[in-house]
Amino acid sequence: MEGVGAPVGSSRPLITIDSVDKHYRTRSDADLQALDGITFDVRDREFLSILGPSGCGKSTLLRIIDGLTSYDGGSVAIDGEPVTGPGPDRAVVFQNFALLPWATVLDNVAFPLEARGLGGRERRDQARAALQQVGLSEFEDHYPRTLSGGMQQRVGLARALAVDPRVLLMDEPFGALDALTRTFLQDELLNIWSRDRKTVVFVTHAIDEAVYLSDRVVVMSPRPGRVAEIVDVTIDRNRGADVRDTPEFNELVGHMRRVLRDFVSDGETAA
Amino acid sequence: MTSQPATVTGGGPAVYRPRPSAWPRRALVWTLRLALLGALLGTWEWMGRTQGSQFTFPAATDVAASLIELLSDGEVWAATLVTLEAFAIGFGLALLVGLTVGMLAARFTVADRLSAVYLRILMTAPLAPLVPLLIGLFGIGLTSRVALVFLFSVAVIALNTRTGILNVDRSLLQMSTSVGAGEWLTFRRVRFPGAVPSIMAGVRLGAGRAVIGMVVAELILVQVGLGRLISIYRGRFQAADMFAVVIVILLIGVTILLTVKWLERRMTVWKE
Repeated sequence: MEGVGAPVGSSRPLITIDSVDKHYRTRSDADLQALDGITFDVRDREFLSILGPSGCGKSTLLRIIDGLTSYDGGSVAIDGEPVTGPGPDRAVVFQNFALLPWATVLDNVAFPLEARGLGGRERRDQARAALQQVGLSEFEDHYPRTLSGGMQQRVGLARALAVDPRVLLMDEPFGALDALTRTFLQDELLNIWSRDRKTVVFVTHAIDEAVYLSDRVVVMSPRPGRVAEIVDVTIDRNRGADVRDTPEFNELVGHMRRVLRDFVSDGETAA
Repeated sequence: MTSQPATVTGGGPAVYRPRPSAWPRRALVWTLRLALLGALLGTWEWMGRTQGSQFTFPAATDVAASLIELLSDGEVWAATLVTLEAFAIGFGLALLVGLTVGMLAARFTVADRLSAVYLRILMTAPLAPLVPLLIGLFGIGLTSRVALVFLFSVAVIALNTRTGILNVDRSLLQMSTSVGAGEWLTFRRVRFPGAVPSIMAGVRLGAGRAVIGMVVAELILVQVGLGRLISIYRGRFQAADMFAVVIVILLIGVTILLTVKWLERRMTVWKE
């Protein structure tokens, strides 16, 4: 058992992303480059954020890691195995929650387990355990529509945790929520994460969120998406909510804001 | 008006769900409904008394009297059963074939291309001219009536099934792929349940069309059941009795539609 304040995981790379390119064909058959030579590693058991303005391809990159989207050049491998499609070692938490509206909370969380061929009994037990982790045990019979946005995303998180993946891929998971719920879920996520320290790749456009949650932040620039900078968040892992008021925290936020501001204003001038 | 997000499925009308706060408006709607019904019946009564005669255009009260008499007599019930037989078989087949064709069209492009033309013809073309052909093919019997009910209702069920399955939220399909669900599991847990509102709207519209087919069949194709009663009473100039049978048919149609609507709500509880 690692202490909460222990140094970040190991430095062994778990996910290696090497010179990944991605092109789209637009309707008018023009070529649009979404990603250009993306290269970085995600270390085993680290919490890594991908930060960038909209249009920088960060969500595309996450889908590539999940194996949902193909790429045109370079390589993506997990533990040395090239990614060819979605696999049981990864689970995604989606921005719009992606819950089945016609299934109860329990059935939603059990769905990935069903996809893995688990029997009904086993499925429900594991799903209940995952719901307990996010504190939604009492709501297993509810339909998603009857829950608040924050609760719906906790169901989304439980669904990802239910399969006990090595890597948790989170695609702007709190982007659709209000600021208070967002802060609350950030703490809850850190709390859950600190229990077993899965490798997390967290996509966001919120600077303070990236700094608050992460061990490292990959800052991306838009059109085409490139890695602009990789920032080590040197703040002690034992972070309370008050860490947001510390000079180190604001130093890092300020630095990233300046990096991102240049892209946005560049984009504005170009457009 | 902003309090009610309307849910539209498969071209069906917006589903209105009253909420507790909406009840004064509900009371108003019901008052207006009753007033309108009263006005219509009043006009009918007045026109029957002044314009028509008991042989051509009976007054509302005459029809009501006939209706009560008719319902206490066994004949109309027997005729209703005969009429419903064609509806039940024809609509049952339409459900079976419509769902199957719709699913195949959603899954296989070839099936879609093959079926599209015929489904759209069935949807839009007037079907009454087919009647002589049906008689030529099936003779004057139950089979012809079943065929007409089937032809009236199958297309809208198939088209709504196809559309519903194809229009399922893409982010849910992506989620399904991501968790490693195969095609069959994705169909059972994502595509089909997602299509249920659209399918049920198709079933509702199809049931309405099936009722039309059922009546058309008996009036111009085979004189049995309630259609035969209408012909008999018309021949004897018993206008009030004839209208009473028409009202029985209307009641059957309304009952069928209410049943389907009830079923529709039962199957989409998760939307409430």
